[in-house]
Amino acid sequence: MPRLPAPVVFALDHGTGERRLARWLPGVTVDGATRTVDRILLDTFDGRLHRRGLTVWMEEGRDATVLRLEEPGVADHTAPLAARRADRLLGADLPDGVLGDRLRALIEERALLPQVRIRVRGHSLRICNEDDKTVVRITLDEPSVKVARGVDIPLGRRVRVNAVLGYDREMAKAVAALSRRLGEPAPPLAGEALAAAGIAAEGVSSGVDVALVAQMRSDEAMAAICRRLADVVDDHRPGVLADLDPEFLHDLRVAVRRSRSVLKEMRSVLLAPAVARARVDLKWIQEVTGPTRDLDVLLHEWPSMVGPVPASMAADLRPLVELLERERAEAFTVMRRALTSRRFARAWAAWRELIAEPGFGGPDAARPVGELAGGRIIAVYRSMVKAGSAIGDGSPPEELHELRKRGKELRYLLELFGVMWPEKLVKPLVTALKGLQDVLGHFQDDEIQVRELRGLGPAVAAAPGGTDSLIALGFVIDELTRRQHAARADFSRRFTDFASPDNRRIVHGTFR
Amino acid sequence: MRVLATYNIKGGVGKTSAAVNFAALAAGQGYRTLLWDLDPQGSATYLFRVKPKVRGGVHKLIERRSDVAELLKGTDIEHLDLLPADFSYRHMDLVLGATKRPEARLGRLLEPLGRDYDLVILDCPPSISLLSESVFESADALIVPLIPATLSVRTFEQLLRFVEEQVVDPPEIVAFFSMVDRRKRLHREVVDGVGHRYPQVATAVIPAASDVERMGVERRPVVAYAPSGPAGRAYRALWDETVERLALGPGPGHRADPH
Repeated sequence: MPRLPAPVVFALDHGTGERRLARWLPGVTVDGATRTVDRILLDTFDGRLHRRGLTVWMEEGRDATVLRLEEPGVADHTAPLAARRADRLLGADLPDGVLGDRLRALIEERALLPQVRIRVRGHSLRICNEDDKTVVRITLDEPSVKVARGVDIPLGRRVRVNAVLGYDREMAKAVAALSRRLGEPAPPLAGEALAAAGIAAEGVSSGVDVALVAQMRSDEAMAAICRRLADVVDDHRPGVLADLDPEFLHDLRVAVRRSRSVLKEMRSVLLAPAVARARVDLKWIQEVTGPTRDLDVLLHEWPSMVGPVPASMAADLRPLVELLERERAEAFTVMRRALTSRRFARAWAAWRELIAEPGFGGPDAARPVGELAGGRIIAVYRSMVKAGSAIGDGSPPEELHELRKRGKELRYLLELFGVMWPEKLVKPLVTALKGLQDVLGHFQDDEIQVRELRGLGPAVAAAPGGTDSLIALGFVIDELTRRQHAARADFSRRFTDFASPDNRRIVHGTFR
Repeated sequence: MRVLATYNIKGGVGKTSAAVNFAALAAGQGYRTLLWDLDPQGSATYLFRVKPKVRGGVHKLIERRSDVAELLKGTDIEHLDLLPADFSYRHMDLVLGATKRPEARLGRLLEPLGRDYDLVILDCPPSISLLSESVFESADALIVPLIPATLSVRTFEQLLRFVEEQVVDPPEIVAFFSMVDRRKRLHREVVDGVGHRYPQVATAVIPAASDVERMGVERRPVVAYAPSGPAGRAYRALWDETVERLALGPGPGHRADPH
């Protein structure tokens, strides 16, 4: 792979311009060319790229748009970007090739969303050798950040030194000359732009990370966890309503489900009427967001589901995809109406009020949380081992679904309360549980998707070309059924891991 | 990565001009482009102001004892790099002859660059030799400049026959007329007649223009210093037609400034 040294950027004061730079850098000539580029900083809503020290810009030039990846110590990587929605980039929108592949692996199913928009006016200079060949490219950049319509804040001026392949020595000399005058390289422009616009680079987190100690009162611990989960819902709700990234909805639903799980497992901390009302309200939120999420998953997995469909029939599936997209749009409209309704506002305010202050008044309110949560972990684990051991080849699917539900409760208990026990004991159990839940999840997701697709049958048949679409749909359902059987076949191995004597010992020895 | 090679048995027909201008146009459209100057005369290398020197010479390069990536030079055009010529390339046939499967050798040398470049353009020396055969095997398409003369057309027919009969996986062929003077009746007759007879011949032609001759003085592709002149426009039209004929796609889209 051609090895190009990374560009080096120095901050410039107002007095330093092209003429001064020309004095510092022998052989430099001023091109006279000035180029203005609009750059939009992209990241996932949870700041995945920022956490890895990566900066991705979408550069809107005069003639085309380019994606640029900046990474400390590495040459910038660029790739042209084809037409796409202006407000987000999903994995499928990213270009083919190294850059696109790398970003797809990092963002997974999340979208790259605009964080901040800057404009960079760059004056070109170059250092040439005796043949008048460019051996180092230099730009003097004047960036500004757009904070509102018509409001631009100037950022610090910079000089950027770019290597030309095969002329490393000349690059090193230029960098050394500028280091002597300008000191250390400048911090990344992205950080300065975000700070000027008042935006947190870390993004929106769905992590809970509530500090718990085993002796804490259970009502205090429960209130702290539920408040943090409610914050996650509030932080993600605008993203859900804007419909920018399906993962906003996923994270919101996980937070609601976790809250419901805490309510169920720790119900003895509250008085019964309060529990009953909150459970109804949270269940309703979960229900009104369900259809949109199911269709998001279906559309996301569509490419892998249609893999076995013969190429000659692929076009027959197009009406089906359009139907799914219409269904999804309708489901979203219903969900948005629900999430902006008075019912939601009332339910959410009541839930917020309930968890605002501890003193829940239930029989276990004052009990140490370590004792209560530990007891629940043991009880749920035991019930899972019992239920799972009873599942055989002929057991109905409902038994696996029920086991999955219990598994989610155990996982949330471990994730939310597990901090009170040594990580080395909790982690192997979580790993075994995840392995089991993956299999159960695939089994149930495939079943939901088969049901969903079967339900579309009449509408598909009625559409023009419906018979061909139905035949192609048969292939998709066949593949889903095959996958579901594979997941079922894997269940026994995963369950044996989960219910192994080692894990039983950990559970009973640790959480008692 | 697609590999194009400008090729003709005859010299002085416009191979290097086509190679450097195609390379500049492709890079300007955002294709990450590599131009390999295979001609020991090093004209393309000279035009990009790069020293015609490859560390270790042709022996190390062909025997894969040099890392090709270490030999590349960036040009003054963004997205366009050059693997320079070296005078030792005059021994290319001998060195290739000493390797196993010489006809596959160029392709294998280019393989590791596949993820870094969208397009490789080989500027070939005029000859029919072991090197040409290796080019025919590794290139996806031959770009064949023709001058509007009867003998030139005869050599084109020879090339078509050779490629069809001797090459296992024959490259596509895009031929075009260069140095065309429409004021000359013979030029008009040959261009129109041959154009009708061979579907491989492009509609776009490169005129005999002083702009092209000035490349040696400017040491830049004509599309960089005179993009709106007759030659600049002709190369752009020819490139666009080539992209379409070879289904290279509309171009990744980024138009860097080729100046």
